[in-house]
Amino acid sequence: MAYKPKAPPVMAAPNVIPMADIMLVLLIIFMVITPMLQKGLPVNMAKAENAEKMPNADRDDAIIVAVTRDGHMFLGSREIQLNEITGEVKDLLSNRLDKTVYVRSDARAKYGDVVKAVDEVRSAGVENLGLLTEKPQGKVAPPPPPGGSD
Amino acid sequence: MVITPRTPTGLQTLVPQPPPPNQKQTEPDQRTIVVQVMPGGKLKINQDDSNWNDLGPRLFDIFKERADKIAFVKGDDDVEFAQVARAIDIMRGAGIDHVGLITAKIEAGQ
Repeated sequence: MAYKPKAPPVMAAPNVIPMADIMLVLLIIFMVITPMLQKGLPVNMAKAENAEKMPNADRDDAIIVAVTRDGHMFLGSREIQLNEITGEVKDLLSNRLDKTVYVRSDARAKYGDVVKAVDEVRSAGVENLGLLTEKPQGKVAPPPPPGGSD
Repeated sequence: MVITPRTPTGLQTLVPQPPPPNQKQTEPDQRTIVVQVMPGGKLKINQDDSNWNDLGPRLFDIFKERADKIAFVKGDDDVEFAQVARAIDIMRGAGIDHVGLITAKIEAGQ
C-alpha cells in the first residue's frame, strides 16, 4: 500500500502562539532596558502638578545635581563633595549657551542640604535652576505636612 | 508606551546673582512677596501667617493686578524638600511666572 500523505485539518482561527512568544520577548527586553534609560541617580522626587516639561534635562550633556535623602550629592551619577560643585559646574558650563542646571532632589531630603547645593551652583554663575519633580499619578491630594494644620 | 521614559518635568526657579562690586546695592522693593516654609508645615507670606489651603488663593489675590509676577521662596533648613517644592508648585499655580529661591548666600548679599 503506497504512503499517501494526509493534509492536516484546516484551522479556522489564526495561530497566535508565535505572536505571543514575540510579545513576551519584547516585554522582557523593555523591562530590562527601561531602568538603564534613566539618567543620573534614581531618587524619589517630589510631586508637582504645575511642573513644566524640561526636555533638556533628558539630554546627555544636561548638568544635573542630585541630592539624596541623607544629604549626599551627585553630579550626574558621580558622587561629589559640596565644595567641588562650583568648580565642576563652572567647567561644564564653559562654552555653553544654555546655562540651566537641574537639581534632582529626593523629596525627603532636608531643604538645607538642597540650598547648600543651590548656593554652590549659583556661585558658578548659574541663574536658572530647574527643580526636577514628578507629575502626580491621578488626582491624589498631596500628603499633609508633618504636624501641620491644613 | 507605558514603559517609555517620559519627558522630565520640573519647577523653573531663579537664583539671582549678586550685583557687580562697583554697583550700588538697590533698596529692596516693598512689594516683594516672600513665601516662607517653616517647620511643622507652617507658612508665612511676608510677615503674615498662612496655611496650605489659603496660600494659593491669597497669592492669586495679591498678584492678579500685578504685571510683574515674581515672588521668592525661603525654606527652613530642617523642612523636607517636598514641602518647599509644594509651595513653589502652589505659587506657580497661582500665576507666578518667576519664583526666586532665597539661599543663605543671597540673604547675606554675597
